[in-house]
This record gives sequence, structure tokens and C-alpha cells, in this order.
Amino acid sequence: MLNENGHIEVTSPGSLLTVQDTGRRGSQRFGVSVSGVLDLQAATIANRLVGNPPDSAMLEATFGNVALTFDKETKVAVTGATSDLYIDDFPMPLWETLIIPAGETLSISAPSSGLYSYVAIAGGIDVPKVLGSRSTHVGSSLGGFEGRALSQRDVLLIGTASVTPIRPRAGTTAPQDLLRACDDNERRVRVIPGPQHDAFDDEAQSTFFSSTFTISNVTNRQGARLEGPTVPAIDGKHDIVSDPTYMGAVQVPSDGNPIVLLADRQPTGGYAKIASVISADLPTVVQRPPGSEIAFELTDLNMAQQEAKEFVDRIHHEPLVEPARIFSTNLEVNGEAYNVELVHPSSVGSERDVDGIVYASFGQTSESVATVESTS
Amino acid sequence: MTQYPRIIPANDSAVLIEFGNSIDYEINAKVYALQSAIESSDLAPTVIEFIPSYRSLLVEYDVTQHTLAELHDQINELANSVASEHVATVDTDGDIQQIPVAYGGEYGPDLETVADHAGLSTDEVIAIHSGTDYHVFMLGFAPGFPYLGGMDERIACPRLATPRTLVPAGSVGIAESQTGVYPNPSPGGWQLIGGTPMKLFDAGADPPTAMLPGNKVNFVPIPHDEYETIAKSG
Repeated sequence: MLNENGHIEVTSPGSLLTVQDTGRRGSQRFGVSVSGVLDLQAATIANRLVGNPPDSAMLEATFGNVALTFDKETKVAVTGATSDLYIDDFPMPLWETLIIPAGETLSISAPSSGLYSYVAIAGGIDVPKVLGSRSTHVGSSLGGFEGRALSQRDVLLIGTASVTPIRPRAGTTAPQDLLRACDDNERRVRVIPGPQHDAFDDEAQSTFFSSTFTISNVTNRQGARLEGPTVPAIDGKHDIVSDPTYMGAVQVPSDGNPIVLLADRQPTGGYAKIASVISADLPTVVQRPPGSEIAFELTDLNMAQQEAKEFVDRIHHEPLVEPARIFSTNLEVNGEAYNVELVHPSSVGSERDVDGIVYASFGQTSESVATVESTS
Repeated sequence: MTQYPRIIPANDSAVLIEFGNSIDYEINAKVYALQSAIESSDLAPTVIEFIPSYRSLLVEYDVTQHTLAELHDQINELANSVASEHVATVDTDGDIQQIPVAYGGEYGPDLETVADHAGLSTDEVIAIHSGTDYHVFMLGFAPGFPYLGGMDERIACPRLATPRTLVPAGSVGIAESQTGVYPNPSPGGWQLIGGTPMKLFDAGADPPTAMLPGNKVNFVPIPHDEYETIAKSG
């Protein structure tokens, strides 16, 4: 057992690296934004891959280019955008439970597809909870690490793992069909009608549903701004009496360019909302980088709610894939019984004992690694 | 004519209940009355969060427990009951929150602009602004930012042509016929007539805001030398 929790030093923060959990709930009535992870699917899987509860705080990177150095051996998983991942100079897989040896650096390249990467660490990130959450809302300097985005040389404390760190084992991966769903960033995004959809006439509705929009360069955690044909409200009445907002609301200000409201949105707003993205399709919206295309299709509330339930069930309960066991045997050392397993695929490990597992590396280019678990 | 209350799905896990389409004390009171009614009903466990606004209440709920079809009738019943009853527009059992304000000078650099625009003296503007009880319709935009109702039209004034890049926390301002307070430093285009040393948002406090949605507030003029004293005492 580690006597002292490890630390993470930010070697490179990329364009925006923040501490996020599942968001700050219950304070929107006081004007406080929810914030939290943008891609709930990738973030939830990352926490599961390191054995964390679903609301553990993790790091969210924007467009990669992140490097993190760990001072103690640590179990991590990186999910979300498709990037090249390395531990020191060795390529490592995304969506997989990894062991980082003490002193080594995890680095994430700029993504080839997707926008946000999630780095979950067994035990989570230990920053103080503010109004019940560790999420950072940079706009109001609330939560996370000193209420701000991380900078080079910031040092984060890792929390205490609340579950046995033996499982998930190194080499555990996310279910394949879930990974395929994450890669599908070209499909139409499903929406239901928004509370003010009747502020838009048939022609404007038809423009909204038949057009392909482009995600603008000024897109951020507050909202995905869309460019393309404008969607005018009847008599130009885009302003409404300020009303509550919510994740996935598609509001249209007077310039006619729709904005999909995301995690850092203000709790209230004064623009007409033409549509609402269904929660199951939010991951594909947030993962589309500026310059990518987006088109919408209408679905109904019953379908959306069915999809929402299945989405929650899938990300929380679809079984992870345990590493294949190439070799397994029991042996006795100094009177203690051990189960020895050779597993695939690889994960770099040093030769030390962490809670009953001895991670023994067979050279870092090896495709295999042995774990020895005490059975006594 | 639209019939109220109106129950509208917002997204797949939030529903909006509208009591009207205007800024009105009675409509706003019904929003808070419905929130209380839901909080004390057996719907409460499935509610994740409420967002009350001028004229509507957003209820975010756990869709894995209940679909809107399952919740609709009960929400409808509560909303109709609130809509048909007389709801007190003044929080008779609540105290009026007193907000100390140092008017003019460094705290209110636009006080003279507002006075000139109104054709009044600065003292008259202060007397009118502090002589009214304001209703906190809702909090939004930023942590602790109040949308206040009830300002006297005589001191209404257009926004600054060029917004300031940084408005200090506690600044009290006027924009058209609205008045408000910036709880945190932020950019802003309101005409600043004063400043309060009171901490209006404190993430460590419960509740985190000095002004509470649905309540009444009153601005109390203080001498400038008291500003620092109050600010230090927290």
C-alpha cells in the first residue's frame, strides 16, 4: 500500500487543461454554472477503467498536446479524442487501463479526430470541493485547481483510491461497440423541439433541419457555435424573457447562427431555443472540432428518453473487456501462495508490489506483462 | 392565446413549466410556489435540480427513474393548483435584505451621468434608488447575479456606449430601467452609481448568495469611509 498519495506535474497543458467531474449540481438557481466533463461517455469509461466512482475528478484536455509527469506508480486511462498516446517514448493504447511507472511522463498528441481527451487517475484528482463539485468553471473562477485552467509546472495531488486497486487490471479495455460509437462523428445529431421552436416558421425550421452547419472557431466549453445558413425567428424575435438553459439547448440569437449550449453555459439566457440535442448524441456534438460539419434530425421525446436510459445504462454498466490471460498458474514463494498471470496486451510495469500485485515488466517493447496476485 | 400553465419538454431529462410570458410579480411568485410544491411532493426524489426564472421553472429530473409521460400528470396538477390559487407576491414572512451602498465617487463613477440624464441631482438619484424595495426575480448570468424588479423609471438610463473591461465586485449599476449588482469582477456596460462592500457571493457559504431568488432587497446609503470598515469585517 502506498503510504503517501502521488502527484502529477503538468509538463505541458495544451490549449486548455482543466479538472472536471460530473458537474456542480443544485446551484444553478444561484447563477452558478454546472460545468463538468463535456463528453460524459468518454469520461465515465475513463473512471471505470481505473476503478474510480463515476463522479471522481479527472483531467479534461482540449485538442491534446498534453504531458503529465507522475512521481509514483499510478494507474491511469486516457479516453475521448483519437490521439497518439505515450508513456515516455513508448506508444500506448487509448481506452485501456495503464500503469505509469514512477517518474515517467504520459503524453497525448494533438488528435487526429475528436477534440477532448480524458485522463482518469485511480483515486481521482484531489482538489477541494466547491458547492459539492471539483469541476472547474473558468468563467467564474470557481472550483478545480484554484478556479483556473492548469499551467505548466502546476502540481496536482492524487486522491486516495476508495476501491481495491487490483481491478481493473492493466490491459482492461472499453467494450468494442462503444468505441465504434465514439468514432462516429459524421452521423446526424438527433434533437427534439425546443421550448421556443414556435418562434421559428416552417421555412426557418426547414433551413435548420435540412442544412449542414460548420462548427465555428470560437466554439468553447460554453457552447458550440454553428455557421451556415441563418435561421431567422418570426419577426426577428430572437430575444425572449430570460429563461432557464440546459445542456444541449440549441439557441438562436438575432444573427441567426445557432449555438448548442454546453457544460459551461450560464444557467439562464435570453435567446429563443429552437431545439434540444438528445443526451445520447451530446458526445458526438462536443467531440467535433472547429471546422467539422454538423446536421440535425428531429426525433420525438419518447425515443429520446428511451435513448437516454440506454445511454446511461451503457456507459455505466456495459462490461469492460478484461485482458486475455495467456498464462496462469499458482506458485508459492517463501510460504506465501501467489497466482501468476501473463496477460495481453501490454502495459508497462516496474518490478514493485502494489496491493498484492507485482507488476513485472519484460522489457518495454514486449507485448506482454506478468501480474502476480497474492492469493493468501 | 397561449394557455398557462404550460408544460413543455426542454430536453430528454428536463421539463419547463411556464406561468406566463412577461416580467410580472405574480407570475414570478407562482414559479417559486411551484418549486416549493414539487419539493414537498413525492416527485422530489427524482428531481436533480430546479432553475427558477422570471416566468418559468425548469425541473431537471432523473430520466432513468421516470419519463416525462410518468411525471406529467402530477406536475400538471401541482402547476394548475399553483396557477389557480392566490400566491403572495411579497415574502411576508421574510426579512428585506439590506444591502449597504456607498453611492458616487470612486464606487459610482457614473452617478452624475445618471443624474444628468434624469434631470435630477445626485442626491435625488440616491434617494430614489435607495427608497425602493426591489424584488429578486431570479439569479442568473453569473454566480449571485440578481435580476431585480421595481426600479423607479425616473432614474432609468441607457447602458454605456462602450462597456468597461473590468467592473469591480459589488458595483451597483443601472441599465435602462433595471438595476443590479455585480457580485464578482467582470466586464460590463451598466452605469455604475455605487458599490456595496457586502460579499454577495461566497461559494463556501450556505446559501452561497446574499440575495435569494424570490426575496426582497433594499439598498441603504452608507458614508464612503464605512465601505472599508464593512468590507474588512467580511
